[in-house]
Amino acid sequence: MRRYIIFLIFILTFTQAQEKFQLKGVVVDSLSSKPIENANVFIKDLQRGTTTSSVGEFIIDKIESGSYYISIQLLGYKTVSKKIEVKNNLFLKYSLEEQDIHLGEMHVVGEKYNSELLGIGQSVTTMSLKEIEMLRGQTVSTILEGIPGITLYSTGPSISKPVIRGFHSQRIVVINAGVPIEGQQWGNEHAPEIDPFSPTKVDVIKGASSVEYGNGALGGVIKFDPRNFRNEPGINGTVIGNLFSNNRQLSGSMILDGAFENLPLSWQTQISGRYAGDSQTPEYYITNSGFREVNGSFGIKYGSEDHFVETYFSHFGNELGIYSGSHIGSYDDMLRAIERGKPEINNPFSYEIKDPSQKVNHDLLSFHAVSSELIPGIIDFTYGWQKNKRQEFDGHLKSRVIASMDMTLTTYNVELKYKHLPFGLINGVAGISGNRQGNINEGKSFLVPNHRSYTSSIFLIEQWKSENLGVSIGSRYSKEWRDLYFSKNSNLKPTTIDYETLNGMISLEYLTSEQIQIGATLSSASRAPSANELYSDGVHHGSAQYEIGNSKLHPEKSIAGDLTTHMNFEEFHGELNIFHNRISNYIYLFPRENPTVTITGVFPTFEYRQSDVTIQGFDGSLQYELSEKISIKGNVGIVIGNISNSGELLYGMPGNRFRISPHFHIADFFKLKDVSADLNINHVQKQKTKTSADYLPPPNSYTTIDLFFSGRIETNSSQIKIQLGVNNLLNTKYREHLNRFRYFIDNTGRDISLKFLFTF
Amino acid sequence: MKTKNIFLFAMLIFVLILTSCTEKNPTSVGIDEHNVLTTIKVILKSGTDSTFAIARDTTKVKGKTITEDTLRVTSGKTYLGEVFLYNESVTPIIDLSSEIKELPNEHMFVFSAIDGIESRITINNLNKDGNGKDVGLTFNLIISGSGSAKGYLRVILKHYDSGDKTQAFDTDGDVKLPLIIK
Repeated sequence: MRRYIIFLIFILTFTQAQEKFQLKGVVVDSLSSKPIENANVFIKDLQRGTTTSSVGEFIIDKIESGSYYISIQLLGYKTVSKKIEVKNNLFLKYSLEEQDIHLGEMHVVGEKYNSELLGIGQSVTTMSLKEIEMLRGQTVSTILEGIPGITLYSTGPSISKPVIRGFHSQRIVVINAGVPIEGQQWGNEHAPEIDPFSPTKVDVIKGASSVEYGNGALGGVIKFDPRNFRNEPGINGTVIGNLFSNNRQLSGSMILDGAFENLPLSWQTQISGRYAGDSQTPEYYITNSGFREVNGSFGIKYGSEDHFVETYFSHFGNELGIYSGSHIGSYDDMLRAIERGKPEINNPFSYEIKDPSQKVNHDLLSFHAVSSELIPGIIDFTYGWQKNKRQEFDGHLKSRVIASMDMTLTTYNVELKYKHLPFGLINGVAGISGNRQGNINEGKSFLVPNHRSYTSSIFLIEQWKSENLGVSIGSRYSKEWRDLYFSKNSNLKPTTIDYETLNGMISLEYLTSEQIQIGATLSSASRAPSANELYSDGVHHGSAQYEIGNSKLHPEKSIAGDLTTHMNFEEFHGELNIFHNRISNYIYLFPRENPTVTITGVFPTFEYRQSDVTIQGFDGSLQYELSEKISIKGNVGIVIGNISNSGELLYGMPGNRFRISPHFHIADFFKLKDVSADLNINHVQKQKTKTSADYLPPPNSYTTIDLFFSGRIETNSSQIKIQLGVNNLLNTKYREHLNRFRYFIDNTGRDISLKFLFTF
Repeated sequence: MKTKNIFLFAMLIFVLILTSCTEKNPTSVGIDEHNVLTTIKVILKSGTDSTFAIARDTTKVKGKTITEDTLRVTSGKTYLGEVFLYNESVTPIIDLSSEIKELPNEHMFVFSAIDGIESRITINNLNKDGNGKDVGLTFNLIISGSGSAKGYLRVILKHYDSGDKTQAFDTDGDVKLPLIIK
């Protein structure tokens, strides 16, 4: 020990003796070249810094020779981080680029108050408001389409659910306003019930995250965050309007945020509506594919940044038509619809919604309290209530009175998290959560049994993080009880089943330099079989297959390894990820040799089985700045799923996807600022799955092109953003493997959109 | 003071949330399976001669279906056929044939003799809806030729959205009833 102290003293004296230099500089705005006041200038390696004067100047004295990273930061500007060599007195000039105004994000929540430890060492993609606002399209899921590794699983043009590396529905968790959305995971045609206009931030965690987010997060997590509350007294608002040519959709949203002068009370409110008619493919209209949607939300927050309570209520209400050519009563109907390959009659465009149709209402109420004042550390409490009511109407006139399917799913969530004070370099979160869910059927057919379930879990994540190395270890234990009540017509008696799961993860993060960051994660996750996998025994609506559940199914268990690299060089940045996921007892439908005879004919029959499978792949993106005006981005997403013992390819995996997106920053055009053009060239390869049980082979590979022009007009107190876009510019006729309507009709054709966003 | 304020505010919201949410208890339900077709019965009559066969969904939830009895007919005879539809998943049993009588424009039966008796049987004279289109709740079945034979009478119930019965349809029922020609 003494030897070390002597060594330390020696080093200290030695460095003390070194020559010291002065660092002077000026910080200016990149566009106006005017000096910027109050910018933070910081030398991370020395933990020293200063702020710029009224003329944008700064001085840092007494710096030993050496190389350092200097960062210049100011809210509203992009942070600049540069490496400097100090050998003599230096004069530096930095220009800061303005960041687009982040609606509602008037404050930055410091690390201190954030009780989450978003998976280090895992691939996390965060989309900011600026990225989201111009991507809002036909469904909330379309926002995510540009993220490598994310695809959409859709049922026609108006229903789509996100797929993370081949996982969707019950194998991923979708969170809105801090509460996992319960409802979207039930069926293929159940899309997430979220207002596309409400999220201002989206985090996508690719890979198993069961420790933090509970069972179900086998394939990943998508977190939609509504706006932050306004901090400064006053009121601000936004009006958004969108027009789409393809289904003649009109949609819009109005947002108002406010905060009081003398009271630490803020509020926010939003109302949105969408009204669309029949979508069209390059050759015909998809009759009865329109929808209407009315959504609203309201929230209040009381308290300061590190000691507050907030509550948020949102309503999602949607009614949509289902293309009647996809509505199948028998196996022969299915074969006829496939053979037709297009609507029987070319109906003209219409806004009318006829049966078959579905009506979905989703109400969510969340209550969130955070405090770092009550006890040392941060307490974070969330309570969520949500009610999902889904009604499906088939084509029969009489069914208008009684829905053919009518389910009400009510879920309560409670979570208490405690983030302890840093213990040296160690941070950590411990939590306990509970969930109660009940499902009631009121329609005339019985898709899944009525149930009441209780889940409780306890978890702990500890993280050690030094300057360039981070390690985190976590574990979660969960127990679920489920009471099941069957239809009176069935021979099954009410029963209770329970599942116990223990999951863990270890994650490493290493910063080789300021530019390269490497992460590796090994995690386990599990999912208990769902009611339909256990007990279904009947014809599945729409897919014309007879499905037989297996009450002896075990929970799926996955062990996943993820390797991720972030690069952040001056000219290019990007992310490359490799993943390998082994799932034991993966549940899937396997075709039976003998079909089932029913009152509406003979149906091919599938039963739920379990096998060990491997799902692995590669995804990433690279962006290269050719010049100040032109950049080019490339995305790739590859997923391969195999059944372990037979080597057979897994059914339902997305085809390999590639995207090249050049971006041109054109110039200012009269009052229109930052006029830019974006092009997406998307290529999707044919899926190689060979399943004898499928009605049609996978569709051919296809290429589509999207083009967008955007710009903004600024006045003193407001801003207008405008975007003119065309999806599927060449009106390409294609079918997508992960669209369930691929058997019957083409995907939608050209879609011209005009979006504007007015902030005041 | 501030802490106390927040605490009170939190309690208020929490109480509001708890009182605003109620939930029904799930139980085993006999949901209103009003429209579920579980049984198709065909009766053939010729004078005093009468025969019938039934296709019945034993699960009562669009599940496995079995047939009971056999239609036994004689060569050279003309039978008056009648179809009956029931929902036997509820008590009392619902007669669904009456729904077709109420909405004849939406439904049409299609009959065919299959599996070796195609040439021996002619089906015609289906009853009509208001537009003069076939419905088929009643029909004529004529046996020609000679010798005994075995096959099936296939009965398909088509459901149309519109009245002209030319557009795409949903299949509401599709069964094969055993038929023996004496």
